[in-house]
Amino acid sequence: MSSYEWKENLVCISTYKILEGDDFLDQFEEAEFSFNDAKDLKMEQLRYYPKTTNDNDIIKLLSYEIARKFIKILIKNYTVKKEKKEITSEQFLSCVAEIFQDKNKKVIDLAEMVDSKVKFSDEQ
Amino acid sequence: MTRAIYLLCANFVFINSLVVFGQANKNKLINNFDIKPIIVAEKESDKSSIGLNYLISGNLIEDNLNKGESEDMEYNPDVIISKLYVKYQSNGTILINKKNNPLNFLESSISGEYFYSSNALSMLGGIFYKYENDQDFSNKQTVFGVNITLVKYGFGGMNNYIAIKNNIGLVDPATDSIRTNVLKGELKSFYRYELEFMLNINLGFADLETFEFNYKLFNEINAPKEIKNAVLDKYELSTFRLGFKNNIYLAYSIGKLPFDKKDNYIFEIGFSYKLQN
Repeated sequence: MSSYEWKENLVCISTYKILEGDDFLDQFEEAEFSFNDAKDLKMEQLRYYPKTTNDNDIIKLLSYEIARKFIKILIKNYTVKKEKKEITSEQFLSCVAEIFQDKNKKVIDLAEMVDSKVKFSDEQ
Repeated sequence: MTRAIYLLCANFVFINSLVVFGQANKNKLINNFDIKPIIVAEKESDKSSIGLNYLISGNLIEDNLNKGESEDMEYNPDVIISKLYVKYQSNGTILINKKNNPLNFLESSISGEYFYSSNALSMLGGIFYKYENDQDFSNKQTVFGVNITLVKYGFGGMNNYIAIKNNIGLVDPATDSIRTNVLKGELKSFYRYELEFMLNINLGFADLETFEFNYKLFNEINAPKEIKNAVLDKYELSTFRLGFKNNIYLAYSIGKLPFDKKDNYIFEIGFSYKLQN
């Protein structure tokens, strides 16, 4: 179980809003999963995760596609910088894609990954 | 003759014992380690058969061809991914009662591939070597060929996507009881085209969340007339799935996969719940 703390900071709020937002990735409804409930949602429970195939190639490519969308929305809507300048854009995209590719990873795992790679305006 | 096989799938989430192993081995040697129990209600009797869906995959070698990156503090959302891989995968469905397995087609493969991802789309292509068998290994064959997979998210709408996977391979049947009977004992290699097409539409209204369609095709190229007459040159499986809230779903599959003797019509009603956190 992740030891990462899910709380009302920008990294967790942005992760939740990007996944949930009707104008963003629209992967679930706020009425069904509140901010506090959503942290334990698994990737396989989100709408994008394929249910009629377990072909790893399809799932891998799809994970990169949705990760790219996630990152674009994040950069467009939030003031973010790299956590460290040595982290490349390719590494960031690949790390986020790995989360989306793993059906057993949770929303909190996605937030933790983003937090490790991104500095938000509410961080020192 | 039409027959219907009803599957009642209860997706028990055994997080601790099986998935933790997969998560603990986070190195890319194992990308996926997923084993899911299922229950099949057999049509021919009142019995049920317990089984497992499994998927194991990972990368043996990985090389990033796009290493350039400016050292400023901004991420580039338009970054292009360009990589080479050598990877493996094994997947299938196995039942305690082998004879009533409606998805009696197990695959294991190793492949060398090029991976590309940009704003336009993501694609994967290369060469592969695959071993196919049914559950008791009474039918088995190897396939060597080339493949390409394309996925585009945001197809026809914000959160819809489309996926296409194509293979062309040389199939070398080791044992194939049906083919042996039809060809009077003469098993030869043959070329086969494979296609998997997937469409996912994010509905997101009321209790109906998603519609997913999956089509699989295995088509023998220039099949002998005996094979065509026996309708063994082509295998198709179509699956339609409606996803509702609370992880409830309704799925319908029609068709057959290689080694299947006749078409299956598979209704699947499922739900998921956690046994423990």
